[in-house]
Amino acid sequence: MKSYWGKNFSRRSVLQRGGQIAAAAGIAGLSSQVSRFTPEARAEILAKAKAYQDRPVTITAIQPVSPTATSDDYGIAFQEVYNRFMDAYPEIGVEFAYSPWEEYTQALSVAIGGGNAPDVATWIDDQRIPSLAANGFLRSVDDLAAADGMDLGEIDPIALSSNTFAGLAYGLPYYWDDRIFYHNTDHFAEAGITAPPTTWEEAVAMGEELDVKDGDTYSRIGYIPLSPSGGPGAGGNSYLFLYGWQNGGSFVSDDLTTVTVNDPAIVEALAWCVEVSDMYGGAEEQANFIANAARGTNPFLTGSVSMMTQPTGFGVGSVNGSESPVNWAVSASPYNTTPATWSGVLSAALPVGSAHPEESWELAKFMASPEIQTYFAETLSWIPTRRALWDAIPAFATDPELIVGLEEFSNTNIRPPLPNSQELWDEILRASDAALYHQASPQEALDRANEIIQAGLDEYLKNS
Amino acid sequence: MLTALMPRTNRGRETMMALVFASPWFVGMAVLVVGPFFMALYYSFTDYRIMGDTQWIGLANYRELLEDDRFIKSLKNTAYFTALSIPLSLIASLAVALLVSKPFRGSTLVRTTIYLPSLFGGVFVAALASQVFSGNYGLANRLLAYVHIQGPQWLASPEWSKPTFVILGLWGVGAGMVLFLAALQSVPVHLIEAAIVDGANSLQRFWNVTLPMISPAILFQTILLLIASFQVFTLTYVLTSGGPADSTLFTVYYIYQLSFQKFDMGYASAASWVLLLFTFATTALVLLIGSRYVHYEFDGAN
Repeated sequence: MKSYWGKNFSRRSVLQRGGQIAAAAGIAGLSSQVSRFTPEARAEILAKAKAYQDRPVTITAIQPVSPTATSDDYGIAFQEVYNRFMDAYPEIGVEFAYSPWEEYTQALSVAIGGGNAPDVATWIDDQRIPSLAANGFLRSVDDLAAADGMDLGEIDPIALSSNTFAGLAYGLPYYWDDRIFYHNTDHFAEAGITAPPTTWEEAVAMGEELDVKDGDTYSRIGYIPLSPSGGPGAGGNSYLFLYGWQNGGSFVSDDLTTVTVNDPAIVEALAWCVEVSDMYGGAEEQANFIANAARGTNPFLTGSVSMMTQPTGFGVGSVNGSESPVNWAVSASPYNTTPATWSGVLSAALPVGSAHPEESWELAKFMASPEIQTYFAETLSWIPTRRALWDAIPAFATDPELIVGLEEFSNTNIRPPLPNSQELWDEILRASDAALYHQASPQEALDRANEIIQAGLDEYLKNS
Repeated sequence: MLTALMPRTNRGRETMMALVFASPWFVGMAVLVVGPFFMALYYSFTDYRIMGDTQWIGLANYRELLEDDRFIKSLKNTAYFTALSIPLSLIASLAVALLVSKPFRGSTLVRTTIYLPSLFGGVFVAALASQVFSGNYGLANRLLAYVHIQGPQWLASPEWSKPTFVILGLWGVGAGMVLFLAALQSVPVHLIEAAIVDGANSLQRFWNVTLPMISPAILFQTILLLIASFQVFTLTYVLTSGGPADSTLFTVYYIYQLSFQKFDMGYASAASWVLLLFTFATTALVLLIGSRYVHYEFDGAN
């Protein structure tokens, strides 16, 4: 296995592994603590991979997961996908390259800029693709799809739009999720609550009923919408994007030229998040609560928080796999004025400078094919970006978590695919933190963020 | 053919051989240090984003830095860290060196034990710190709770995150201890004996004899710590990503963000050069001030 950035496990990955790979990308439902692969199945996949050698053309596929890490289901699933690809394309070999998620963008940009580009980046999220495309690191797939007669219309247009920059698609999305609302059913029964909240107001009120105090400190918190960035928080995988949309806000104009993160509806949403955070002693006290009650892990897993927003798959993948799984159920996210959730999207993209663009395109296409999306759905409970496949997957009709998740796609949003998409994400987090820590009012924090993101966007628009 | 190139004198041949054996260092220095050094200077005057054309934009990056709130904040954070960590590290390493300078039973083991942590990298320190300074669950606050003190939120608090980093910096006092141990061994015994004869107590002997005699080592260690402090990166990269609320956004980490999240290499190069100039200016200032107080015994200079 080729290792970009020189080592298989980064410095940061010593501390942050597993689900946090995807959490950083806003697709945190990918964490998995119970392996879906037996040791025998893993060994068989790895042995098979070794047998594909001396192909006329070998392409390198880079991703932040590893097939040899025994706790990593995604890595071994990807290896199986490459095995199937090599079965289907006897002339092409696929070399598995690993880069830790925290250094993925860095490794990719340096490799591409240094003329040592991997052939396919098989794991890029929607937050990074526009930024990488705008900076010239990725090539568009439109011409390849057209030449191949591939109908991109088979892929959900919202998922595809997350990869579309300046009218061109820069990746083939093969997986997406959306955020839904998880609650601890034992806590609900204990408090006599029979149905999950449907509005913000109900969520906060129910949260207060579910709180448990030990003296002056909380040993259990019912609900907190937003936590400071940078660690497991009581707010789960929500971020201001969710609440901005649920309050009818818009982060950017429809033509993607004017940044509106200080939209009054978004300012109001942040003010509400701060208000609820302050009810529980503020951001620092939350950090203390996480450290104490949840031992530094996701507090829903330890029964320390009763309600939490997380991406689809969190229940089966993380809660059921935790040391003492709690009983849970799911519902649509409570909202204020507008029913809304948001999606993270994973795609296969083609770096500029690949020595084998045609073979690389075949692999990207294969990743997004019905066969592989079905395999991911059946093996990892991943939701295909080809909606036509949903009806054919038995679990999608019976798994309550997936049923809610699939229904919620009708209310989903994606982060705006701005050329400075990374800056958009960073500044939203920074503004949220500044407000939560009371270093600035929500209005001041979002005004500042708006100014910075708009300046970055203007620079790209001026040069394009 | 090769023999024709060899110098005819022994001295010439020795010089030639020395250069041949040293050549890997020269090549490495040129390719990995000097080259990037001047390339970064050139790029600091350009709009360089890895891919695409590089455009000369003169001083635009430097002008932008003057108005960049985050860059200024990162410099302030770095200065805060430097101002606090250097005196504390110096005092701690000197104190430890004084404690173990006299041989006693097991002194070698004690010295080795104190020095050992400085061999571990920043990542190890960070991993440990995440446990020690983790709210009330962490070791630090548990110990404080024994004496009925409610500890702060350390890394989760914008007010406490930088002081926590300073405390973590003390992890490496062992390296300073070794330097001061060597310096203490070189303090002439006759000066100490003369001071004793003159009736000086131990504090007076330390202040008037030992401290002046080891002042060159103190200055040297100060400069080493100064340069290292300006380059603080690993702890913030591993532990806080610059948070909470930019309170641990140090300049090198900001340069990293500019380079690999915004791909703005030209601007990042300008920021690097400003940091270099800050480091250079501060080091020069320390040398200037230090030269007034440092005592060099053998050349007669003060």
